[in-house]
Amino acid sequence: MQIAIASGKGGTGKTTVAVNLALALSTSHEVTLADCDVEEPNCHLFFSGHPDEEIVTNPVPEIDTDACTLCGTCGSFCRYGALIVLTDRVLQYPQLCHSCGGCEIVCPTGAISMRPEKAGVVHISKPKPSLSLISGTLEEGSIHTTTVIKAVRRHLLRENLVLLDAPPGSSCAAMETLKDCDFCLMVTEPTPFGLHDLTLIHEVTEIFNIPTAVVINRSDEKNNDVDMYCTAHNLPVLMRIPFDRTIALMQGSGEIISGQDPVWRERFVRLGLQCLALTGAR
Amino acid sequence: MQIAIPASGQTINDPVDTRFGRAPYVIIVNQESGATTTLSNPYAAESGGVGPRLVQLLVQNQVTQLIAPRIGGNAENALVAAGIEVFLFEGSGSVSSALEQFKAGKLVLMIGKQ
Ligand code: SF4
Ligand code: SF4
Repeated sequence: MQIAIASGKGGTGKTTVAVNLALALSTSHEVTLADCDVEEPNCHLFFSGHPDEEIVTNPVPEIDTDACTLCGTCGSFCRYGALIVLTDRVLQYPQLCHSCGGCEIVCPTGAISMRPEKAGVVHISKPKPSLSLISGTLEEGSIHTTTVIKAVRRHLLRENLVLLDAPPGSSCAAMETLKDCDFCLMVTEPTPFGLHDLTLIHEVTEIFNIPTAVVINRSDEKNNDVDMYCTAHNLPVLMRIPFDRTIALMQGSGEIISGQDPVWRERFVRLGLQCLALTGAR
Repeated sequence: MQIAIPASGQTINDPVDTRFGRAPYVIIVNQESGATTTLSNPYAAESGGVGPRLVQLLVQNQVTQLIAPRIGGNAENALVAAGIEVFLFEGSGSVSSALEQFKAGKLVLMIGKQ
């Protein structure tokens, strides 16, 4: 069972919901929390422990300058501008390379071979016996978000209850995270921006045909545009998180509300069970 | 010496384009003969790495100097490696007026040896 926690942009409380839900559900289930927001992973900030590390790489070309005749074939071939053939050398931009491997094939002199280039890291830890954390971090300057997310995904076991902290927005990275999920919990705010972002992700979940529900953050009362949208599209609003100083402070200091406050623990357990019920599982 | 200028249109009377990698045309002027050639930029609508790829095209066309507005980091790096001198043109105006300012020594050398 895979449940994605998604939002249109960062800072909507997506990680708060993911972390609290994971902790609350870990009292009754074997839970894996997968941080797929690899450009800005935050889940690990809420847990201590020494994670194992796995380096994620992508193949990029390496040029044997003795064999290279500067013929220009690779430079004309690469659509991404990762190889630029000048009059005296081939200039490389490994950060632009999409690892298609084409340049190695088209080079007439066999001067190109592929070497691994670091795209990111996956950290694996077990903050509790029933809670695993798999966290992906993109190497600075790398474009290979989906490679790192795929590496995170390889650690996810179907039989566990997996919660995925999705990258914000409707980018390729968000798609890569959402596509195999059984359910999506969208976290948003009752503002025009929140509504706009909600609409975008809702479109994605509709394309993938994933059942979806909503958590509204910084919201006390009903009757905002987000609520109206949810009613109109049959999206259940499963939780409202009020704008509360105590919650904000706890978050800021890396504490998990549902770990401290039994009322919130109960609320997040209920949220989790509602999600599971909506997926048809238990 | 061949000098290149990114342009919004195909002639020297068209405006200088403010986006180096995305300019639809590049006009190349042979400074000895005064002959002009217009290249259509094959990368204008592509998604990534357009700056360095356009530099590669300039190298293939024996360009040694470039008049251009601000340039992205990857393209700048390629221009430096290719040894192409870049003269900054920040205003608006036609390719021919930019060339005149260049000949009058009014454009600042942005990349290349003083
Ligand atoms: S592997 Fe593909 S994307 Fe990378 S440099 Fe070679 S041709 Fe370009
Ligand atoms: S295709 Fe091979 S030989 Fe030709 S420029 Fe590229 S690396 Fe050199």
